[in-house]
Amino acid sequence: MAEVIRLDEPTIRYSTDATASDRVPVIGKPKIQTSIDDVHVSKRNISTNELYPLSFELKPELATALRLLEEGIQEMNVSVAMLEEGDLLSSDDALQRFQALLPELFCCRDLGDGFGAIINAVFHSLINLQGSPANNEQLRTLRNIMNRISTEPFIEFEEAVAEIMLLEDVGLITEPEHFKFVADFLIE
Amino acid sequence: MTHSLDLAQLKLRQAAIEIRYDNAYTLWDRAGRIWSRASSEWSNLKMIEAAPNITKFILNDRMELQVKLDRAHLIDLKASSSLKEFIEIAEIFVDIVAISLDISRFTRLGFRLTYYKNFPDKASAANVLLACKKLVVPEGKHFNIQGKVLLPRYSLLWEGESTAIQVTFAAQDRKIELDISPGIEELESVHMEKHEIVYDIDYYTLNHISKGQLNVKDWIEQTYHLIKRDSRVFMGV
Repeated sequence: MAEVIRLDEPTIRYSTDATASDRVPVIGKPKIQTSIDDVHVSKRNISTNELYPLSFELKPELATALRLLEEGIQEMNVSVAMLEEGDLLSSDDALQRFQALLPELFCCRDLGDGFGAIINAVFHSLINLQGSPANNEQLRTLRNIMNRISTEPFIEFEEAVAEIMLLEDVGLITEPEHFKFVADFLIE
Repeated sequence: MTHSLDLAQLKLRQAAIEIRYDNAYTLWDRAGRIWSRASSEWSNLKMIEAAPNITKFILNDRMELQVKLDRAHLIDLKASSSLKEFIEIAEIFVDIVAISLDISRFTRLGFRLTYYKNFPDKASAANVLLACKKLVVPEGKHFNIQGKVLLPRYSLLWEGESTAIQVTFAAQDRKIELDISPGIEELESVHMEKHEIVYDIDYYTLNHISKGQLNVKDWIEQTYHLIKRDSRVFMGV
């Protein structure tokens, strides 16, 4: 019968030869954890630019995406504000400027499937309006989804689908129009 | 003759990433799920500890993976300078923990590297650290001792609005002791003492991070690049 000899982990000690260094601290950490410990109310979320400070050098597609998203969100803000002021023409101009950014944003889809899915859905939502102006609820939903991927560019695909469903809830069609013909063809 | 150091002269001893999150009580239900998923990714996992609040495994006799109620970490105990394997494992591990525990945001991310360099004696280790001129040390006779400086240590916290680093640059003695029980003739006890300089840098976030904001590979790569680029400032080069 084989005998297995297991060795203890070697002890590694560092240069701590201080007087009475093995004494238990007089003031220890309280053993009772209060609910306060779990609350982080004072903390804000870190910005994506702060989290990835070298994106221009090491992850250009992220830097490009964040720049375009910032620009796009500003245009969406203008579009919403103009619509609420009753200036439909200026609102639509801002929306078109936003729309012009989408092809370049789509080029950043290597960031993740979720990111690509959302940009694709937003692009087709606007195309499928076929020139009609978006209403206030649609603009706000579009702006919210752009804000979401601006703060969470690596969003999971499942969460991106949930966001895309919100676009459909406000009457936007997020897939290419010919998809319905393909679907009909497959059903037949 | 003593010279100041830069990072290229030191050897990477270990790399660690830690994620912290609000208490994930689902750990009590899903600890098994975490490690089942981990086992399907890596075959060579060895369980070290399994208790309600903490589970710890070793992968390939090299990586320590641990999950607790409010944090999880991966430590590469034999890190290569490319961090290739570390990054590959970290990506998967963080993903498994976040998905299994339904974590939607992290309260803190930490990335810590420990570098070292051995010296023949503690005086030469101390002299090299002092040559970096980050410490002002007295000369002459004090406390009635005509002494010399040994085991100098330089440590600081460099904090910004959203991120911070804790840097420690120290000369230290490292004693390794392994006692073999009497009767095992094949092995000998180990008692060794190393004199080394250690550069320990802990880069961490101060604010929350959404799960969809985190790409582990990119974050580690960019942080590692920053550490390599700017460490010379703290090493006196």
